[in-house]
Amino acid sequence: MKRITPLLTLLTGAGTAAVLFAMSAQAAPRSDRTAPVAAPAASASAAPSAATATPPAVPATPAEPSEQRGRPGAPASATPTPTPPVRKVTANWTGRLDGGATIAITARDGEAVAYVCDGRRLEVWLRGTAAAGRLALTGKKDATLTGTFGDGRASGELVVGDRRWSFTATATRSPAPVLYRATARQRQAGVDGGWILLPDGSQVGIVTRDGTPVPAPPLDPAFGTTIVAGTTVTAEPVAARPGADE
Amino acid sequence: MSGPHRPLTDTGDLDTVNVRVLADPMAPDPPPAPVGVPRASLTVPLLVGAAVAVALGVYGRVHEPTGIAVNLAGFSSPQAVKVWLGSGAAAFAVVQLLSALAMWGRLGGFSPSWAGTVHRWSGRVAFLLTVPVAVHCLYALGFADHDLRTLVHSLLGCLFFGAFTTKMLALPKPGLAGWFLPFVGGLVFAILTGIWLTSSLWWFTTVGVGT
Repeated sequence: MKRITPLLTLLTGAGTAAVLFAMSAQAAPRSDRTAPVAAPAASASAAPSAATATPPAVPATPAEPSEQRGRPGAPASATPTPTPPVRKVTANWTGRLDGGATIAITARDGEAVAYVCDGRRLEVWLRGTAAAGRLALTGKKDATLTGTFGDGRASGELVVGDRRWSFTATATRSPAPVLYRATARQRQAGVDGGWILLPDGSQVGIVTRDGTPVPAPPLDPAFGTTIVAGTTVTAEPVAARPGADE
Repeated sequence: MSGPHRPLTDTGDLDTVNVRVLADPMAPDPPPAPVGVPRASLTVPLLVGAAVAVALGVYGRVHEPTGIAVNLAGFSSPQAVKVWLGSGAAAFAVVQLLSALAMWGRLGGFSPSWAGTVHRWSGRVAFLLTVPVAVHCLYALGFADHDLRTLVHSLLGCLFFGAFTTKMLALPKPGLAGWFLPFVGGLVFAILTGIWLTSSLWWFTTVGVGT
């Protein structure tokens, strides 16, 4: 018996590690992960609210299949495109620029924040309004974003200096935040970061340390943390509330 | 195992028991391996241990760190989970050291019969506590060399599981040299302490205990 117990100890440890690795593989974001079952289920359950049912696969670039990972349990949270006369919009859109960068817009009661990021070095934060079907946001260096939204889609134009891009975006079904930014405390410590959490579970982000932008490691959405060069960076969902950020 | 074989089996068991007692670290001063019993070959434990250490390092280097691994509920961050699991393992490692000293009669006259049991079970618990930490390190962070601390931590982390594997595989072998188990055990303890110093203690001093 004694002969075998050290081996059992090792095997128990290896087994535990294997289980944890498998669970980690489930937990970690994968851009190539597909959800073939979720899409039909979501569109079926969203059918009653016909006006808000977002057609899947809207973005301009065919490279992004954009399966909306709709959960059958929570179909009702689809695309709040309100109909009342005073359009205090609360919604999230994610999509693409024609240049290939990713865009996310989050609006709350008509106040909107947008983040455009190519995941390598280009990033733009914008702030403004989303009301009456119109988007009007501005950012640093005279960046402006104008566009329209409705029926679960948003599209328009981003101008930075003398460069301009057009974008199309789709409203996310889940109310989960799509935009994260390094906390104010974190930014004071010299590390800024922005993340777009796409509905398919993949992420795009940039971290800026000492003024140098680098691709951001994925954020753990459960804690809003990630590790950059050995130190923990904390981020929080961006709330489009006046004065909440910037 | 029928009638005629019975006496033979019994003597066989007795022999085994004898060999066990000789190899048992409980014996205060283990005598050298008896004549006729060849010195146990440590080739396999050493090779397997080295292979484990190298494999972990290569995996940590090659695998793209995800930044995310499975979460344990109830902690403020995945790093806090690791810090406390690691500290638990380090605490059990101290129990390991003390119980080992007792087993080898190095605590004065204090050498209770239950020291071996305490040693075995505290070791198992300590080892199992390190596993989730290592999985998170390897899967989410990978082998890092941003600075001296992370490099030392990464190296020691790989070495720890190699040294532990070697000890586990060598443990049941009869006729081990008397210095071997204390040496490997001390090595495992020293490595784990180094890992704890370069991670948990660093965390406590830079981030704080409360978080």
